[in-house]
Amino acid sequence: MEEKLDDNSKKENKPATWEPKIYAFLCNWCSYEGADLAGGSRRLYPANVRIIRVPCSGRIDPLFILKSFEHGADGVLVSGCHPGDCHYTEGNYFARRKFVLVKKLLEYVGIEPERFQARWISASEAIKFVDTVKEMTENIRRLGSNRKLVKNIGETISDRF
Amino acid sequence: MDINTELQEKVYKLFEEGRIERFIGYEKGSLPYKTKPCIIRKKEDVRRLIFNQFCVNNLSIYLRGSPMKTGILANTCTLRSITMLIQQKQVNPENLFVIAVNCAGMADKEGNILDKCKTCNHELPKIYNELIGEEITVSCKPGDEYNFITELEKLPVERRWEFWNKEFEKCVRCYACRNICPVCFCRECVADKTITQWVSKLNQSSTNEFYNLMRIMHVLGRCTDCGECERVCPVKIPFRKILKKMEKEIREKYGYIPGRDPSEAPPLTTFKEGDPEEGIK
Repeated sequence: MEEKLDDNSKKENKPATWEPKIYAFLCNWCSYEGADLAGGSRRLYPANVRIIRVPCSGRIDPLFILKSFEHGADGVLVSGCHPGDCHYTEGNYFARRKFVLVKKLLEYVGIEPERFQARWISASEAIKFVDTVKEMTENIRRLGSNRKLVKNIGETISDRF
Repeated sequence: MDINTELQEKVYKLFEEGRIERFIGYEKGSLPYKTKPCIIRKKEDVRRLIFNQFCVNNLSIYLRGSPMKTGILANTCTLRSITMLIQQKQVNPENLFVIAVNCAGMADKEGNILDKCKTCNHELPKIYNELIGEEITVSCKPGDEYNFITELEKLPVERRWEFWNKEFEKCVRCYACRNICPVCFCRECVADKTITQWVSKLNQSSTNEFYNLMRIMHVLGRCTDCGECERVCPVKIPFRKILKKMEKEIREKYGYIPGRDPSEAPPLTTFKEGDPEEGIK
């Protein structure tokens, strides 16, 4: 995707109309359905979210989250079924341990906690999905674009010396 | 009887009785303050074996993937890693004969106790067959082992990023930390894959961060804090500062201490219904 740059923003290497980009990894059985319901019932939510459907929140590898940041995501949302409601009985329990630890790790290395969010959203909770996306977009808009962990094609460490 | 003779006699007897086919221990290094790992295959060679305060290498890395009956000399770090390897089903305990040694901490060439040993309050896991050396008491009080990271923990997010960014920027991606790690035992590492390339080969701080964070995520709940990654790192990235932090989180949240008991389940392969949900709404 090509974004237009005006003269001023070129210096800062920032698009003129910057919009936060949020990658959302949603469980097929609940959160994805929830997002679908939000659309089906014509609820408006910011178009900043890019949804990636996964079979279960247990499928979300911590590397997906790092890779999203590397590819220029300003925020990452991971979401699955409420504990106890997993389609595969226990996938989200394993995911829960992973998310808690990854969140701690990212915060410890200096990624703002707002940028990585985990939520339990069921298939009927369209409103919760809409609210989550709105809240995240607002928070990230306040923080500005993410410069951490982002890969810059063409720039190497040795260029700086 | 000094510890070297005691060790050599024990190993000699093991070879004579046919209980082991090889023994993993330490021998003299190229300098007085250096030792190197060695593998003894004949009983005549046991004279080479030594143990002193410069035996820093974690020997458990030589155990993986061998069907031989193996004897091993294990200080606290090695023994805890062996526990982990048994727990992860990488080592068959039936083929193993462990001679544990009471270790009072390892030293650098000036004779100062290493940082990792100052923060060690681990008892020897009870998986050894024999114990040698004089009994010692653990010096670090429980709870004090995490003191060296509290300063970093208290910094604001941006400062923490500055710190880690500067550290990871130094990384030359030699993968020594991965190769030395006893619990990094994947046959094929994500970092080496080129089809579905997860870890980019670009020379860039973001890709260094990606690699290092990936490695840390992969050893979560398995790292026994032997400090080998930090020792072999040519640019001295303080890995223990991040690994210890994660160890602390796992300990607080799931009550799990790695390398304590081989029959425990690793924290990320199990769950409880009432696990903490900090940060998940």
